[in-house]
Amino acid sequence: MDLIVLGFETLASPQVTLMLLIGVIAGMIVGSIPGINDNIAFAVFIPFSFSMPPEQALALMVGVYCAAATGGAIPAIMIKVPGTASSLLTAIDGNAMARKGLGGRALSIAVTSSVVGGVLSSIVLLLFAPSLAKVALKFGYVENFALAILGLSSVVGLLRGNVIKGCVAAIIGLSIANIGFSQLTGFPRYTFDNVNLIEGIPFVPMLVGLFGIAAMFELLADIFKERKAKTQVSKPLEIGSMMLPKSLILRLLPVWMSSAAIGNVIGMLPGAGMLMAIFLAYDQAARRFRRIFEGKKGEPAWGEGAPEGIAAPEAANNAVTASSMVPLLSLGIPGNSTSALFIGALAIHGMVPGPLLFTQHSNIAWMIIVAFLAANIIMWPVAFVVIRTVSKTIFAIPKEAMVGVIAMLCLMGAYSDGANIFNMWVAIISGIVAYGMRLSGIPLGPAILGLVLGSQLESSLMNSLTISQGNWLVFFDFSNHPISAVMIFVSIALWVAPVIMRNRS
Amino acid sequence: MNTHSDSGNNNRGILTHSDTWIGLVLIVLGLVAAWMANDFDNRSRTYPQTLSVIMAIFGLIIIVKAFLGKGSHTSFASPSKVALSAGTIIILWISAITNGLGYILPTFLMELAFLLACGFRGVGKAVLVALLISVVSYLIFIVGLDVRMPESLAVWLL
Repeated sequence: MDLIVLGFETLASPQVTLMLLIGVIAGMIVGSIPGINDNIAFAVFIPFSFSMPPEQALALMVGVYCAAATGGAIPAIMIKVPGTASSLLTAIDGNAMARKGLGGRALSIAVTSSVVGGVLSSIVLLLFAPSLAKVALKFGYVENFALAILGLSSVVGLLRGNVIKGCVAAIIGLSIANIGFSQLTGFPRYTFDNVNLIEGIPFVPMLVGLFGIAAMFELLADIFKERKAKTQVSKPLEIGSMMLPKSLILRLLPVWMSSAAIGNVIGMLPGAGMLMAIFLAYDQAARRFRRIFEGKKGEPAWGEGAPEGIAAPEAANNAVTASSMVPLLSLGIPGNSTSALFIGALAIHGMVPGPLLFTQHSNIAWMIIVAFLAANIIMWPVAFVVIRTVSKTIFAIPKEAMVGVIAMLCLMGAYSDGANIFNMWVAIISGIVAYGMRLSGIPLGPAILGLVLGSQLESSLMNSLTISQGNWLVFFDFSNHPISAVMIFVSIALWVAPVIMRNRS
Repeated sequence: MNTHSDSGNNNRGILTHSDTWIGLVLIVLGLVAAWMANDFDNRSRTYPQTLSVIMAIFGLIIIVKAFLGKGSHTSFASPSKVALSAGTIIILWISAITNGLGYILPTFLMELAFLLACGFRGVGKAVLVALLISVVSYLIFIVGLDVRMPESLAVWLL
């Protein structure tokens, strides 16, 4: 308790609080620009922190990290181009809701969900950080493989109608993840002797292309259609009222709780990342929505403006931001790529994350933890101001001008990740592929998850089989690997349950 | 999560059905990837080869479903025009930047091309908007974020 008070005292200094506030504002604005993802937003601010005392620098970084994930929801909702990868699922129901004239409500749901998810996760981090790290340590190869299978199986629940094409999408993602050096043997696979492919297809440019460039193609197609029909090109979507009815808040409470819990757990696992958390949370919310609300009067179909479709991924992605610090601060192992950048931020100020951080720099360690709570609380009013000022100006740009702006932002965002022209080619080709997939009815979600989980799936599978001497039953072994066994059985249930329910109806 | 629209497929010939072509692409990609995996070393071959074969099998299943009238057809005619025009503009932009024309000039031309392609009213207004976007993005990325662009042919080509 004394240590938590110490953290609050360090944060309460006016300069540190100011830096936290600046970080939140800057992170929100940068996160809301399509094509600039949270890694880039975070990396940009690290140099600014060089000349600052460590408390101020780290408060700035915490503010940017928390707010960038939320800022990404703004363009996801208004123009269906996620500002950050963590908002890709928000774009589906968020933009659908905005097209019905409820843009303000969609944005309000996104912001509130982010704050709730972040605050709940921060409280868990505050109370349980050291002991939670012990759970993360129990994840070995067997558990990592089971987790990857669970992640991929979770998208099955979202595939109504065409499960075959969904499986094709997952296979495409897993196959693309094979490009580059094999993690097991170091053998170059599908690199065509191109040095740029040695570490695989650059991930950030690929994501930018899959979502940003593909969304630009769709926007252009809309404009061509409107011109052909000789109707006036429709105006940009208006934001409108951002009030949330009390009934909607009460309705979303269970979604916030479950999504924050999922984000909390997944965020603690090194390598799992935000994407898995948002997919799992989205899947859970979809099942609940279909069971309780779908088909009722006044309720949209899932994927066509369901509030839960915004609330779940946003609560989960912000829950991940705080919980990803658990393995980082306690063990020195980053929970995801952005928290890995935190290692750089700490190193600049002569600190090494891990158990020693809590003994040698306890005021800093606990200040970081407390700052996550404060940043998520501050984010709520800041988001409303940013949306009503900066974002309103950006999204007042006419649709015809938006096409070129999105293209430029996405391509420059892709290029900025390594200053490599190859990344631009990756972005444009990914965009064309994603556009083709959408037209073909092959969903993008399972492909993305396959991309993220591909290398983890292979290495954990092969290493697990090596350890178990080729025994596949190791994944079902309740006595030695109970976590894995539970996850595998849940995965099987996710495949079987929809079939049983369809046969019953 | 599917966004395409199903547009009446029962009477469509198998060769004109879009799912047939999608299935064929998957079969070809899968078989080529599996064949290329033969050159990998033993330990790193199995996994990619298995995935490639599964991809080809799924491609075959999609073709069979189309043959049985259970597929869903989408026309690629107008989306192809969109991808072709936007793709061409972007490829020309990347080529201009790579070949030393700086940032502002290629970006201005790209923005102008997109504005005119989208039917933006008034060429003069389009020129001004394109210039504004180019300069503002230059200030954000090159000046503000210190993104290093390929070297330009002349110093004045910013």
